[in-house]
Amino acid sequence: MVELLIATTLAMIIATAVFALHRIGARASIYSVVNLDAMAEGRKILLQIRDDLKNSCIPYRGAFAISFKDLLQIDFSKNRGLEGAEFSLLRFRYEPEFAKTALPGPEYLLRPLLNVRYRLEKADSSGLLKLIRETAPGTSQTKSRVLSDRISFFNITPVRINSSNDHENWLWNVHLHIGKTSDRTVVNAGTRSMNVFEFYDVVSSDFYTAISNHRNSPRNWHTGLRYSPE
Amino acid sequence: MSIATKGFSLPEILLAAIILALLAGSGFMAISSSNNHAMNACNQILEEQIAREALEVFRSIGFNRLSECHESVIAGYQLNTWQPVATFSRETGIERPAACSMFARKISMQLLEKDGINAIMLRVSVRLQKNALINGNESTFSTILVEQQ
Repeated sequence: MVELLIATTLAMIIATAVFALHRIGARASIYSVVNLDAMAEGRKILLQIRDDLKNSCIPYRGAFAISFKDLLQIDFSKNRGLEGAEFSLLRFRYEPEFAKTALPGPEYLLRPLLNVRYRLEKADSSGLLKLIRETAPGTSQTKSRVLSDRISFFNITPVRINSSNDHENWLWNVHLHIGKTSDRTVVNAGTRSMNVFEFYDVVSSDFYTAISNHRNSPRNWHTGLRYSPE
Repeated sequence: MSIATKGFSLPEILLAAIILALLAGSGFMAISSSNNHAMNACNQILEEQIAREALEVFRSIGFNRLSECHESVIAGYQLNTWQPVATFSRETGIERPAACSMFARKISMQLLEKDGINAIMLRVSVRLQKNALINGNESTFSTILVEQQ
């Protein structure tokens, strides 16, 4: 009888431990997968934004005084908080394009421009937002791509850094929060709990930096690659 | 069959329990290790962001101004010492996620010269602060800024 009791007790302890192990293991693995997924998504978005900001520019139309704030237009005018916010810029593309010109003289390879716009929209199923990237190369049709549908915060703010007494550098501080809703909590408590993964980045424009650091550099520096088919 | 040969004896059950406990222990260890790996992956992304911030700021300042500067603090960044990473920098106005405060950063610069070409080797090391609850390795990121004529 005593042996039976001991055996039952031990079996119960072991069963409880195995059940707890299974539960913790399942929860930990789901948590890890969700974490890594959000991290990978955030990293991918930041790399895309970094690439756009790094190559941002202003079209050259003769002599002009360049202002950092002209590189990126930020629009919160729809007055719905983050929803409807837009960030627009003009950037260089990587593929050079042969400049077809009727004018005589040397011919150039141009880096064509691309209009890029990031837009925040309300996501359908949750209180989170969709981050959409729209691109319009020249006169062709606008392409649109949803980068994420679980954005809880997104902003790009200009940052001024004084590197010396007579010079200041301008960069962008990018903030991105990716929200994660827990369906389990919704079922149990009737409320939605949300964990947020925070990302940030600091990016400068190569075009602006070149002109800012070297005042005599040509404003059309990006068009200076000569093309000689012969 | 006698009564003594029925079922298992107490030593057998204890042995079985010990084996099961060892197996459960190794299961817990595996879960804990998996969690640590996931946490390390998150930390690596943060480390990369913290290092990239400094590299980007120094890159935008450029070789010419950096080479003229002989101070230990450039644009609010202390050189050659481990500094805790704050969530907000008053000098630069850069805001960072709260988790960044778990890290410390060290920035170092080294002048290079080869065949008449001058450059600065910029190194940024990031590690978890000593009082952080989890352990992690130090990560180092670097870039070379070449003099522009």
